Amino acid sequence: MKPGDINTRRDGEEPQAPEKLVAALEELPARRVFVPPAIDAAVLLAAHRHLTGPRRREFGALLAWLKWPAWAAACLVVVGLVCFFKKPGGVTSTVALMDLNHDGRVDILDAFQLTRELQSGQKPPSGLDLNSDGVVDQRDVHIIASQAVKLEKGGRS
Amino acid sequence: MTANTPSECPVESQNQNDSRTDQQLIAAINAGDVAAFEALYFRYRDWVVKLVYRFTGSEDLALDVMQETFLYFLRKFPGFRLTANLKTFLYPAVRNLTIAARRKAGRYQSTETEQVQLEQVPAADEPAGSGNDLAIALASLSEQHREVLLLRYVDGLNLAEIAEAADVPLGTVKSRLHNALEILRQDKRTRQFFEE
Repeated sequence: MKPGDINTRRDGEEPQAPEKLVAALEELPARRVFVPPAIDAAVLLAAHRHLTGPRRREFGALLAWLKWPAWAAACLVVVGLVCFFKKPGGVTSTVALMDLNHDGRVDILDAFQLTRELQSGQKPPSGLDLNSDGVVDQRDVHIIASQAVKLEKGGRS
Repeated sequence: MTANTPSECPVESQNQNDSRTDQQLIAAINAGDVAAFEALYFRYRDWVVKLVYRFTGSEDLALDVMQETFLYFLRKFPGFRLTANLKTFLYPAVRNLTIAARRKAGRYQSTETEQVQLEQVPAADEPAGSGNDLAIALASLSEQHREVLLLRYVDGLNLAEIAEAADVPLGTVKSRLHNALEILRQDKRTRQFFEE
């Protein structure tokens, strides 16, 4: 290689710059930008806040951030369940009324009991006017019987 | 302390005497040591400022981006792991933040950089081979060529570190460095640097 030639091998070696060039590059007039102390203070203050205690604050903030969505989700679930199980007039209250023998289930036995009460001349509770026609009669017995078949596991009062 | 003598700032001089390595300082910062961050800040502050100024030619932008860079760096703690030269980590952050700052300021880097360089145009009787010739020749290089040259010989990064910082293959870095040197060798303003 001749003096001044650049090492052209790029297959593994680094191109070498002449020493004079390297020295000149290192001595290039570099304009010094003055950094006001106020800027240093601002950066260091941020560092102080971030490094001393922000972990707990951040963790606490994270927990707080998670808490509200979690609470909201829980409330939605509860409201949803309540709405699902409670119709106007109340599914659960109607089921409870239909459980005439109070065995915790609405089944054909409850239909039989209402039939017996009607045949014996007893006045069943007005809440058993399930078809809202103003009277408690065999039609309401049929409704109880159909509910007994519909409700899985006999329903619960 | 006067405004023109920041080196008299007791905090800065104290932290400039911190003999811990970057790795040791990083470990201390991860443990919440603010003084370690201060030491690292003052160790690299001027380099970051100089780098941004090199990109933009603007002192205001240099200061803004320097702050943003260190705040970005700060947010990496705790949990930051230094796997290479810290400049390798800072360089892409500085570059990206500079791009964002320039967009926000609505300025064009190459124009300003060239303008700053041209301010250093020597008088007619200034001898050839002066630092101004070199500065003008550097300004004529493409940004990619100029950067790899300065990162290597002014900022002291090795080629692997430059490749990582610039996110380009090592072969590309070598190629750019070779081409940059070849251009300077052909340039009559800088040819004498290549002669014995």
